[in-house]
Amino acid sequence: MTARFFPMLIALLGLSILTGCASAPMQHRTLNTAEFTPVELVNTPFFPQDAYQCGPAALATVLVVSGVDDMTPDVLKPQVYLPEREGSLQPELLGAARRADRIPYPIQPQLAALFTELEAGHPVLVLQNLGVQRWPRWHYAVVIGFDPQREEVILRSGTTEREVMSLRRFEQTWQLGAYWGVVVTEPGQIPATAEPVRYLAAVSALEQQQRFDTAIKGYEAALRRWPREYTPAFGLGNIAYQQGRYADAEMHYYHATELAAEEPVIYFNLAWALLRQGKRDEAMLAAEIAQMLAPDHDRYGNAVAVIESAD
Amino acid sequence: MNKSIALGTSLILTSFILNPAVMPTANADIVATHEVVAEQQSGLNRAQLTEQLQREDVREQLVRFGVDPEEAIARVASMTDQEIMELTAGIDQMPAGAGISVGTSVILIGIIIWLIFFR
Repeated sequence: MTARFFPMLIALLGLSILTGCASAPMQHRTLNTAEFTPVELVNTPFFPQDAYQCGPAALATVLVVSGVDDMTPDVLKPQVYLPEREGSLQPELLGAARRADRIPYPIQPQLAALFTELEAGHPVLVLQNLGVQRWPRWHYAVVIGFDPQREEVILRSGTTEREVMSLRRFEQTWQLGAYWGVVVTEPGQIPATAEPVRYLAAVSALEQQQRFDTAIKGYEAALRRWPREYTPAFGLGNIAYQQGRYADAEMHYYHATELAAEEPVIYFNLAWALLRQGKRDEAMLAAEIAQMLAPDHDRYGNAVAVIESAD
Repeated sequence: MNKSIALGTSLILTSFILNPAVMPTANADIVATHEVVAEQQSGLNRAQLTEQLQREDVREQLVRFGVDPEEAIARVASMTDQEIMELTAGIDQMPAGAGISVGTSVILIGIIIWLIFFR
């Protein structure tokens, strides 16, 4: 009796570990599937992965869709593969997308955001954990379709060109991957679910790396999508400034002040753009406004003195 | 003694700052867009120097994890400050997506089946 009981007990314990003891609420239970139409992005290319190479394969898939025609997993492998970990890390995938002059956008950690992107024609690169929380088996795949009636998710995954997963099972694996998903759009296109600050952070990363042409397209698209946000105009001004086009920078900064009349940072940079054109009096005026708007700030609080002593 | 330590440290720090490969270009004059966005996101405004040291640290770690040194420079340059911070925190613990391999779960299932049916 006891001789049979113990193995059973161990087996049950093992099963409970395998099911992940998931305690966090699952989103698919409250997801209104009627809101979504069936979609499958059948034209999404497929790169079957080699051993441990799901990162390069999945990233190449979304990059080709975003118009980087000659992209292959082999090109990406040296850029993202980490030999000692036998895999690829999330930040490195984002970095490699930037090196291909694309703006990677991490979506909101929600099934609804994922399916909205699919409806807009954007496949989504996702991180899944195909193991369990304690013994993870990390995997990157690309979600290309959703069938709301049958509650199925369709992926390009590993060596399977068309993998169909139940919505429930997919969410389990995606939840263990902290719902991490990335959209890579064509230049000048903004993801359907993009939020201003999140998207502008994604664009400013390109600007910081001096990938100015791509960043300009991103800011211009943002200006069209959110005409009341000042940051895109500010970013365009900063790029013009860094390229030595000070008159253009001045114009963009003025545009930004029309959208946000009380942001000291715009007047501060405007002062520099004016100064670089030899318009010293106007520059001093802009610096005074910056200082007036934030008298206690480390930087803007000394704006007048900084501009005065600059040459 | 103290002087030479100070000199050495400042030399090392300067070499980080002047290393164009690890350095995200910083303008002494205007305020960068990514700084403004970072403030909008979380109100944080970090010191430039810490950031340089972190980038150098991540680059070294990448090399230690088997990345070609030249390639490691390009990789570090392609990441944001936020991403560099994530890597500093745990390059050995972060999820490394790999894909097909016989996972522990498969082995566990095997053991369980054996326990139930063959004992």
